[in-house]
Amino acid sequence: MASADVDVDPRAPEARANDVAMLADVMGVVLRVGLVMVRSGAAAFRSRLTMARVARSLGVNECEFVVTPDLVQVSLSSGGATLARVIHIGESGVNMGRLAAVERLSRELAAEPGRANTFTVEARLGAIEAAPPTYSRWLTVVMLGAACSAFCGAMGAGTLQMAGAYAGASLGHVLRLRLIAKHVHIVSLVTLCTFTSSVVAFGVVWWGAHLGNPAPVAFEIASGKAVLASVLYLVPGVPLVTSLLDIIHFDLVAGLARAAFASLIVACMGVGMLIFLSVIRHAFP
Amino acid sequence: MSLSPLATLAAYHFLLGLTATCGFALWFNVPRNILPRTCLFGGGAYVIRLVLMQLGESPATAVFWAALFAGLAGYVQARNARVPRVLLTVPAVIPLVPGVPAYAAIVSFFRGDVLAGLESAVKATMIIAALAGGLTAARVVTMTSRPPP
Repeated sequence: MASADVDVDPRAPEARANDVAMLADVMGVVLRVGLVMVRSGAAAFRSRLTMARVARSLGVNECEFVVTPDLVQVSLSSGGATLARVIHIGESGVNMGRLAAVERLSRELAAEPGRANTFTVEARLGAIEAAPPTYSRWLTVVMLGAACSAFCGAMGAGTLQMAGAYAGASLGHVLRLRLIAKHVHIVSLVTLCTFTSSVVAFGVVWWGAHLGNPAPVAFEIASGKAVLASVLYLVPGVPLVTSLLDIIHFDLVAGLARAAFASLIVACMGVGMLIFLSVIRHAFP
Repeated sequence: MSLSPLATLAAYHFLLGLTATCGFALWFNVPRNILPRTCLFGGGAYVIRLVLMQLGESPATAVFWAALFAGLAGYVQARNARVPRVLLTVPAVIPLVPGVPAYAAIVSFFRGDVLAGLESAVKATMIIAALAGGLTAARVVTMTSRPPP
């Protein structure tokens, strides 16, 4: 029948099998690119663009992507074959060095389409993923403490309060690194770190104030600038900003999901603070 | 306020903003070649916020202009360095996040002073909206329908 003939791929089955095999190879690479981008904190539109560049450079021009903070869905077509797959993201964070490296790789591939193959791209992605952080963990501890101390200074606080903010943020960040390594849930992690930083900042200011004149008022210290500044390293800046980017690029699902995640972190900080204030009120009636 | 004390205060806040931005940029693993520019934008945005507030602008308005500056400066430098703009803008705007009113809201609610808590919460929300508005304005102004290469 003529109508049936139109629907049948006239090529040999071997050709179609080659298409599917080629799509499967490219799919593996493209999904890995998406995974690295989203896990590094990239906005949905940037992840899509990067994946599209890689797919086209590997010879697949018909491609569609759905990117959210939880999953990446890819559909690739070539010849008469189409392949679609979904991958879950799992734990994610922020790694702008990795994000920039993958984006640079995709631009290089796009500049010379057809020259790279899936093996070379996989190898370069592997090298990017295996690269150690640019800065040592201890440097981030020192500098995040300095950042929170600077926040405290900007609020007009004195040296003692800045020292309290520094100690609270530094020790809180050390705890955060430990908890991240143990894969502790983000809710527990943020609440615990907020509480710990607040206690340390309070302790430093309380101790320092006792060296001075009259006995300080505990609750005034607890609700002071040092304690506030000591938890600011937990502010979810990247999810907040990328949620905006997603929304203005009409990636509404991704944008709202990120905004909800950022709100969850802020709420956890609030819970940690409330527990801290409650403890102080009962410890120093 | 005369110019000299304002200039001194601005220099002090520039250093504070630069330090704060540097701390977050290191944690976010911003590449070494981008780091100095990111820190400068953070310091610059912080000074803009300070100066506007000293000139009588509301905190929300001051944060809007500071975020707009960070967004536009980040756009120009990101094009030059061919890196995602987010590397330059996100660490630079984190010092603008309204920590004080947010914390004041929590403390007020904890003390049972609901009205003061709501006032602080509204102030914090307005500043966050202004920050979002500044960054969004910078992005929309520089956006084209053509996708980036």
